[in-house]
Amino acid sequence: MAFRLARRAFSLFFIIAVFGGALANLYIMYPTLKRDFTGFGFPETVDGLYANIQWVEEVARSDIAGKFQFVETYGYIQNLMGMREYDDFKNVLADNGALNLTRFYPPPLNFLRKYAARLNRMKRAIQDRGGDLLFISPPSLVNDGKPTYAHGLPYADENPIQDVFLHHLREYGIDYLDARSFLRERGLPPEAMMFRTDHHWTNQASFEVFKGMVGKMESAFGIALDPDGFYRDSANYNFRLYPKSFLGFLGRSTGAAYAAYEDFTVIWPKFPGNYTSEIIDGAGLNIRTGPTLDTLFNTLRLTDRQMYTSTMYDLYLFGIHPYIRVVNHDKPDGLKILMITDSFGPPLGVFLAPLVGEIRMVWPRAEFSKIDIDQFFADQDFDYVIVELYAENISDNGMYFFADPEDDKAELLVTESGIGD
Amino acid sequence: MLFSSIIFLGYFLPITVLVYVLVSFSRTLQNAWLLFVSLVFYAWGEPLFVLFMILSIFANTLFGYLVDSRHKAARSAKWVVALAVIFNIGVLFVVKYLGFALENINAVLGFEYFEFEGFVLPLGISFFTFQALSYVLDVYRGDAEVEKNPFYVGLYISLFPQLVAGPIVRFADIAAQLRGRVITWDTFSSGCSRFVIGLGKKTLIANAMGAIADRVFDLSAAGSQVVFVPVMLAWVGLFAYTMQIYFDFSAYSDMAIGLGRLFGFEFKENFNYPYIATSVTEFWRRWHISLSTWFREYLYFPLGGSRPETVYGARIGAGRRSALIIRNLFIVWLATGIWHGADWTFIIWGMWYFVFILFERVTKFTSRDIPKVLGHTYLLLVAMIGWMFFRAGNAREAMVYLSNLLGINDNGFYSPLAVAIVREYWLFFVLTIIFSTPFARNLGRMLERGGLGAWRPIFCAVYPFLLLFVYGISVVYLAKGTYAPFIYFNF
Repeated sequence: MAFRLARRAFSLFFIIAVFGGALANLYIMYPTLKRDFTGFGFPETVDGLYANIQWVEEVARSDIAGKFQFVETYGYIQNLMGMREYDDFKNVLADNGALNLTRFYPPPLNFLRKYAARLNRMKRAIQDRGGDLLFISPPSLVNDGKPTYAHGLPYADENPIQDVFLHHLREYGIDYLDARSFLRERGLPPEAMMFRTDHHWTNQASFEVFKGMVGKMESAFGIALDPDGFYRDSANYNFRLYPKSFLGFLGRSTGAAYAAYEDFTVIWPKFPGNYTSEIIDGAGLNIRTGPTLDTLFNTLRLTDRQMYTSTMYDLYLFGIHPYIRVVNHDKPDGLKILMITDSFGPPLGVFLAPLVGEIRMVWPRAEFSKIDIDQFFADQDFDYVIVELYAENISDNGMYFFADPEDDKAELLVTESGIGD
Repeated sequence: MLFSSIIFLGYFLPITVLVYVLVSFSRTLQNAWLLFVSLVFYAWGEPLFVLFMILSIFANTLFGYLVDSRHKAARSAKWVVALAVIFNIGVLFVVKYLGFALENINAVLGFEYFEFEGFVLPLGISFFTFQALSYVLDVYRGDAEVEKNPFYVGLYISLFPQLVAGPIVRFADIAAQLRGRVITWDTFSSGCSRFVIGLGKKTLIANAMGAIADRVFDLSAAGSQVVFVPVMLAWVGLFAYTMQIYFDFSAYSDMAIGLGRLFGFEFKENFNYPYIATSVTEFWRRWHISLSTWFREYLYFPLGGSRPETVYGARIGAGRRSALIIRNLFIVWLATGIWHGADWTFIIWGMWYFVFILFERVTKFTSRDIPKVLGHTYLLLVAMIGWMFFRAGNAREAMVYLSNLLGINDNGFYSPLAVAIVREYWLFFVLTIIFSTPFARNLGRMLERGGLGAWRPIFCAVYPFLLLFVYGISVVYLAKGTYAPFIYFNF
C-alpha cells in the first residue's frame, strides 16, 4: 500500500513537472513562433515541410525555459563528480582550472609546407610593390608545458603545428613573430598568456605582442613606426581590471559552476585618437567616426553582462568580422596595412591603428561576406601585410589565399623530433 | 521524434496526455486521438514515408480481411498470406536492402552494372513491418480475430510508444486492449515510473557510454597509420558499447512500456537482464525478447523448429532431423542478422550467434554443471565480440578492431586515454554493472510485496523524490544538449 502511494505521489509530481515545463517552454517559445512562423506558408514540397519541422524543433531546442540554469546545473554536477572532461570529451579541465579543447588525433603536420608556400607567394607579391609581410604566431592554450593535465586527458596541444609551420617560414625566409617565446622573454608566465575559459590570448598578452610586432616590423623592414616608443609605452595606456566578469567561449559552454568567472583587464590608450571605422557584420556595414572609444571599442560589452550570449572579448573592434577598415585621420599619409587575421587579431588592430594611416582587416574564416583575398590584394595598394593565424587556422579554411594547384604535391614528411632536418 | 527530447517531453507528451484525459468519456475518441498523434509522431521524422505507413495499414487490413473470409469459406488463404509477406517484406527489402544487394552483385560482377544510390532508411521500418505482418499471420493462424476496421489496425501498427524501436507487439497480445483496456491510477503511476526509469537509463547512462564507444570506434576506424588504439582502450570502448546498446535499447523499451501504461496498454517485457545469463541460449531468451519471439513464432516453428517430424508429409530419420534443425537455426540467425542492418557485419553478427547456439545445442551446454562465473565470463566475451561486429562500420573496420582487442595490430597494451576514461566515468561504469543485474527490479518487487521491514517506510518516502531527481537530472542533461541518438532508431 505504501509503495503504491509512493508511486502515485511520484506520478503527481511527474505530471506537474511535465505540464509545468510545457507551459514555461511555450511561454519562452511563443514570441519566436509568433514572429517567425507567420512568415511560413503552407509547404509546397516535402522538403519544405521537413524544413518547417526542423525549424520548429530547433526553436523548441533553443528556446528552453531556464536553459542557462540547466547548463550551470550540468556544470555543477560535473564538478561534484570531480570530472575533468566536459560534454563527452569536447573540453577538458587543466589542473589550474583552465579549459582546453581536446584532440584525439595527431596534429596534421604533413601539409603545413604548402601554407608556407602560399605566404611566400604573397610576400613576393608585396615585395614587388616595395613592401613586406610579417606572420604573427599567437600562443596556444598550452605553453611551455603549462598548464598540466591529469594523466591521459586528450588535451589539444597546438605547439607542434606552430613549430613545424614556423620552421617552414624560416625555410622561405618569411619574417615572423613567435608570440610564445616573445611573451616568455617579456616575463609573462604561460598561464597569463591565455584566458582560462577562452581559447584567446589575454589583453595583456596581445598588448605585449603588439609591442613586439612593431619592433619586429621596424627591425625587419627598416621602417620607423614608433621611433620614440610612445605607442609602446604602457604609461600611455589605461589599465582597468574587471574582476570575475568574464566567461569565455569555452566557459560559456560549461557554465561558471564548472569553469568559474575570470578577471578581464581592459587596455585602452590615454590619447584620444580620431578614426573612422567601417565594419561589415551580420547586419551590414557599420560606419563610426570619432575618438578611439567610440570607433574602435564596443564599450557596451563592459556593462551588458550577458554572460552566455555575448563576450567581453568582443570589446576590441566589436569582435572579429569579415571585413574591418580603420582610417586614422591623424595620419592621412600613414602606412596602409592589410591584416589577415582570425579572432586573435582585433586587439592588435586597435593597438596598431594609431601608428598607421589605414588598416584593412580581413577574416578568412568568415561564413558570410567572404572577401576574395587575392583579388582584394590586387585591387588595393597596401604597404605591408600582417598575417596572424593561430594553429587551427593554418589550413585550407584559413589560408586559401595565394593557393596554387601544385601546393598539394609539396608534402613534406616531418616528424615531431625531426623538425629542421 | 525521440522520447528523450525536449520537443517530446515538453510538448508532445503533455498535449497527448491532456487531450486523452479530456476525452476519457469516449474510448473511441481516445483511440482516434492516439491514432492521430501516433501518425503525427511518425510524420514528424518522416513526413513522406508516413503515407506509406497509412498505405500499409490499409493493405494489411485488407490482407487480414481476405484471410478471414477465405477461412470462413473453408478455402486456403495461403496465397493471401504469401501476398502479405511479399508486400511487407518486399517494401522492407527495397527500402533497406536493395542497395546492399546491388552493391554486392556489382562486386561479384567486378564492375558497377547497377547504379543505385539507395533510399534514406525510414525510421522504425523494420519494427512496424514485422508488427504489420504479425497481424496477418495471427489472423491466419487463428491466434486473433480479424479486425475489419482499418482504424484499429492502424492504431495497432502505428501506436507511437512502440512504433520506431519496439517492443514488437504481436496483434494477438494487444487485440483485446484496443477496445477493452482499463486505465487505473495504479497503471498510470506505474507507467510514469517506468517511463522515467527508462529516461534516466538513456540520458544518464546510455549516452555516456555511447560517447565513449563512439570515440574509441572512430579512432579504430581511422586506422593505425593515423592513430593507435592500444588493447586497453579497445576493451574499454567495447565494454562501453556493450553497455550502451543494452541501456539504450532497454531504456527505450522501458519508456515504451511506461508510455503504453499511461494509455492503458500493457506491453510485454523486452529485456530480462541479458548480461546475467550464463549461456548464449539463455542470453537470447533475455535479449530483445519480442524479436526472438517473433522469429520463433513466425519463422522457426513453421520451418519445423527443433522438432521437425516430417518433410512434405513424410516422416524423417534422426540424421535428417539434425540437418533440418541446423538449417532452421541457420535461417533464423541469418534473418536475425539481416533484420538488424544491410551490411556484412550484421550477417557476421548473426552467424556468430548461430555458431554458438549450435555449439551449445550440440554439447548440451545449458544442462551441464558449469560454474556460474565461467558461464558469465563465456557469455560476456561472446556477447562483447558479437557487439564488436555489430558496431563496426564495415567488415574491414571490424577486423581492425578485433586486431586491436587482441594486440596484434602493433598497437601496444597501455593506454593513458583508457585510464582517463575509466577515471572520469568510473561512477557510470559502476552504475552500468549494478543496473545490468536485477537489483533494482528485485528491490521494487520487495517494496510491492511489503518487504524490507523497517526500511520500507524510508524507501517508500524516498522513492518519489528519487525518481523526481532522476527526471530532473535527465532534463538537465537533455537541455544541455548532450549526445542523444537512439541506436535502434534506424532499424
